[in-house]
Amino acid sequence: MTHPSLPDAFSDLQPFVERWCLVGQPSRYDQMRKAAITDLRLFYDAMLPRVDAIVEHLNSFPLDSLPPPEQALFDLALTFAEVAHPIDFKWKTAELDGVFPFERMNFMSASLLW
Amino acid sequence: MDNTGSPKTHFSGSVANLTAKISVEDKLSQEYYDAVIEKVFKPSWYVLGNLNDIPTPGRFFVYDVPTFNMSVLVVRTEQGVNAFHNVCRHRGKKVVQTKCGWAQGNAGVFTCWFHGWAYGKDGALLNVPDEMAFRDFDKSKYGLVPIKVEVWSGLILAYFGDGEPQPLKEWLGELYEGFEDYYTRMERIATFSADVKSNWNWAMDSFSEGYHTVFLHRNTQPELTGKKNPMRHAPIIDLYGHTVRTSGVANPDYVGPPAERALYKHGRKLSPAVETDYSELPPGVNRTRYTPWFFDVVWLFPNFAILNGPHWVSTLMIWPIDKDHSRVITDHYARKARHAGDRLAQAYMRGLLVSVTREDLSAMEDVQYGLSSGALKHIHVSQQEIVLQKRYAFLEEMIKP
Repeated sequence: MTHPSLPDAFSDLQPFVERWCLVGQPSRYDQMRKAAITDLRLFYDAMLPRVDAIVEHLNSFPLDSLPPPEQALFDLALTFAEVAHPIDFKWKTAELDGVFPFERMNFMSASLLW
Repeated sequence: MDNTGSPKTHFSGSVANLTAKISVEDKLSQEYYDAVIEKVFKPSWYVLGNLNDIPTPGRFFVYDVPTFNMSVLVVRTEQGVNAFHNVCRHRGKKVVQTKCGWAQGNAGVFTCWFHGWAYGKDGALLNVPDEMAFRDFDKSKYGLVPIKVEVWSGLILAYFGDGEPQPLKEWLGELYEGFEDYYTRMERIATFSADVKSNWNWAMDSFSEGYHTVFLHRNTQPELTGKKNPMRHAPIIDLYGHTVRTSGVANPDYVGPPAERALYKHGRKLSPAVETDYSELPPGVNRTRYTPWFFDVVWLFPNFAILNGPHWVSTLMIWPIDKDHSRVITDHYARKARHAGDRLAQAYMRGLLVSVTREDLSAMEDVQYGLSSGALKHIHVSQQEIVLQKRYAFLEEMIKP
């Protein structure tokens, strides 16, 4: 399977596309909680310094009709936004102990649209 | 100040019949459950969504309500909003299939794919295949069965009881005014739900105080507590009849972790960041313009809470399934995204809230386990948990013979 190409200026983030260019809340969260915290931190550390440039680039396009490379960059950045909090809060694992099983949660509506 | 160093709360409204000791055994009995469903749940209005969920004629959502074993089709029309039982008038199948109790889409005609009966946005039965095979059949009398629905401040409310409901204006009381142009600016950014093994009361209790956030959410909301208010005492609690409004306190020194800061810099400050510009708040939200303010909570008893934030709204709906099981539905809204930066801020908020909610859901199942053991005859709650006290007093008042 081929993965979408990012805009040229963001080609350094291309290695993260295969794993983290995801659409919809459940797939992003599921990928997060199953990740080793070291892998999650690699993605976080690569994305965080690029947020300003990513937003500046994407904001020059209409939100709902991005060209394919920009859409891929957006999906990658949206995944980063949804999975960043374990690193933000310095968790030791991406999945906390003792919380409600993810498998028992249902996602609907906007959670599935983007 | 009390001995925790937290400031005192300003309570307004009626505290009659409130008790800090809440009996347990009765809440877990079938008799109590049946009485509450009959006398409290049936004659109530329920927020099912926001008009922005269905912005144009033909847009619809279907919302299954396990408490009443109902499936509700809510559809936008040229005139406003209609709601119907999502039940085909032929053999009773759901017209629109739901998944996890939900469906949404855009349709001019709703076709039941059991035998092809089709209905319009106004519920009228438009087409019956092989109609001539039905004897003494008047198609005009077989429209979808309507459900009472009204729009208030951009929110869609439905009534499932028999007979005439209390007028919505009267039912909302003090909360009816003050939310103009607030919910109408919001778009839905997430919905997640779970069926939990917990009595609906314990589930509501979880979402009725800020006390737990300091401890249960220590890993997911670690910076909420300010030095001057370590127990996050609510500055203002307005106790009305069957509704309560509180203003919640923010940590004035809140900075936020790196990714949140980076993302909220480009979009609006969403939960849990602190917004200090109140210029776009309606009068009904943070009504005293208290500082440092985090968000308000409005409870519509018996089973609904709305968290009214500066640029975001979260709602918590608890539907009893039976006396030991509940469905928790959380909807999250934010001011409409203007650009990618706003959408990225929305994504940060909704990702974090999954983790926060998983902590709440786990705790309410543990409470069910603990309380159903019979170990405790009563629970003893604090003044900061007065919303629990108010709800239990309201239920008591409603079900007394």
